Amino acid sequence: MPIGQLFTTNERYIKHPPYASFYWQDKYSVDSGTAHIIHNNLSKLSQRNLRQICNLIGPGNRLGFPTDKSTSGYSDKVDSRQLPRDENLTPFNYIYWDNYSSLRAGPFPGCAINLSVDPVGYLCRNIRAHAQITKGNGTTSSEILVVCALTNGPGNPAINEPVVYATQTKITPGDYDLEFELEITSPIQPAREYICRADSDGITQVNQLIDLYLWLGWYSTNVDTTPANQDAVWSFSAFEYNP
Amino acid sequence: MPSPVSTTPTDFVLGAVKVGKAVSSAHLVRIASECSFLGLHNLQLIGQYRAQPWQLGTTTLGAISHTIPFVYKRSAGCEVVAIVIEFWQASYYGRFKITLSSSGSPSFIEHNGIDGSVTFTQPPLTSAQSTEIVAYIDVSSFTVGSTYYFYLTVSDKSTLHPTEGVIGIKNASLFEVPCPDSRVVSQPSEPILEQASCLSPNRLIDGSNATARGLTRLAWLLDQYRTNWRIHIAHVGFESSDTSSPSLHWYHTGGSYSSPNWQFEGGATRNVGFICQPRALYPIPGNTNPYKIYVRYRTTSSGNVTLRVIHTPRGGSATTSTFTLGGTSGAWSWYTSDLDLDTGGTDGVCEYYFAAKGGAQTIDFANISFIEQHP
Repeated sequence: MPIGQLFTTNERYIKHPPYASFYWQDKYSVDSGTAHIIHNNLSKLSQRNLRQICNLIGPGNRLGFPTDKSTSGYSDKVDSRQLPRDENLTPFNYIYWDNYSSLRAGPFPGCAINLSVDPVGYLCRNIRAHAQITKGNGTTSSEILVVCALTNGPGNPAINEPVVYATQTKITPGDYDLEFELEITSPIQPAREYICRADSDGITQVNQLIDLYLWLGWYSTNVDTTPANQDAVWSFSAFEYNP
Repeated sequence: MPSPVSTTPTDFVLGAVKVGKAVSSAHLVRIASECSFLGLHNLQLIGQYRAQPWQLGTTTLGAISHTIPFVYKRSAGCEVVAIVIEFWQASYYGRFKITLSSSGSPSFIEHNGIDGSVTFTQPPLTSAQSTEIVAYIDVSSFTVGSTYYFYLTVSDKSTLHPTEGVIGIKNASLFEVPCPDSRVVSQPSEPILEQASCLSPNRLIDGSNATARGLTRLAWLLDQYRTNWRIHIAHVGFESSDTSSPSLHWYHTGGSYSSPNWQFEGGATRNVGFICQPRALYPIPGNTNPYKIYVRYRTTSSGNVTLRVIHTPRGGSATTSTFTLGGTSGAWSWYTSDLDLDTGGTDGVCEYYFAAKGGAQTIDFANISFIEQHP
């Protein structure tokens, strides 16, 4: 773990005297205890200053595909590209990733917490995502496939190899709070420039950033038309986490 | 000077610092590197909006002008906010304008059309990524810790299908743009420790908080990273002047507590749970209210309404926070109050949902956000 050492007994951030107080102005060397506290506090902040990525509302019920042509699929797209649906292929190909079969958070800059030189790139913070769903008791033996994926760039996971992804499938009817832990174990390279400072002489400063998009996609074979029997995706929350 | 050290958290080893031994310059450079990470790199995600195509009824986002509100408190190390907007793809024709406004006085570095000067065209429905634009605003004039609001207004719509689908924004993502310390020109104004001052044979002098070096500066920086770094937990919808019944917005009607109607496609109304991980730096007394809640709402008449946040630390028991919102008689308004989110859940996780009560009134919601105000 790239976070520095923490005090192991009573682990916490330790508040210090105000910066303007005389404790910091005595012109003497920093004693080892103070140095330890400074280290501990910096490490604690690096460990706990974690960002909330999204809180999105899902579509609710009526997720049955592909019979519901009016709201999904490829039938009304201007391009003819259609991914093959084969269970031997990746789960991404089961999902249309369109307006009605996916949610997307981002872009947001990946929080680089460590460098890798071979292969080159940054390791970013892990992400924990939650999807609140319902598996309805409609079509017998139907299932709902839910995929959570992180991409470096805006392309959907079917056309842009995800950095990391996780899937869950539910067959038994019921309400579920699906948890996806996306552990980023491979280094990622910055993919996009963003302006980070407006200089006083009119020259802007740019920064190369890891351009992350977090996706939630779903595919349901439950085509029951009674709302109470349908599958549903209610919400999608995600945040960074440290073990 | 360019940073000789990566802007990532460094692996401090406490055992390297011992009584009677000097703190090495390498150690100090690591401290400076960690400061750069905390102050310049690890900045906030302000909010995420996603249009709900299932939020339609008969009058739709294809016909009405609407505004997407965000709440914002600037982090100490942020000077630029990026606004990334993805357009809604559709097989129906549409044109629209987007205008950004704010309660502060940000200046555009690049507006890319979201100053209302450009008429955008709805992109066609494809399997590929939709049109995405990025605008930048300079927020260096924003006071750190003060509350500001951003509004993205989609207007001047032209469509052959006014009762069909969405015209305009599909996704909007606002975030503070991280900056490498090698790009920082005027260091005393930036929340970092000057790395050059930490190199041998320089001493870490006491200094002041207004210089980029010294112990006093370091203590000031720790306060910046602790108290001026605020998690933004945003639930972003939209507001409009539309008064259709039932409402097109997230809304609630009725005299007993129940979930707002989140505009699900199938019309279901249920408690929708969300999850967050409140920051836990140290134990906080239960009544300290480390968060603020911001609600963008309107009511149909002038009577008060109430909103509840029912929050449960994972593995613990639920706590209900109740807020009384004044009636607005149809005008959109912000409500703000303190909020105590639990930090003691398993894995630090807190689960929550909303309930509202408005009597005969309809309450419309456009934004419900929690922003940290760490004591």
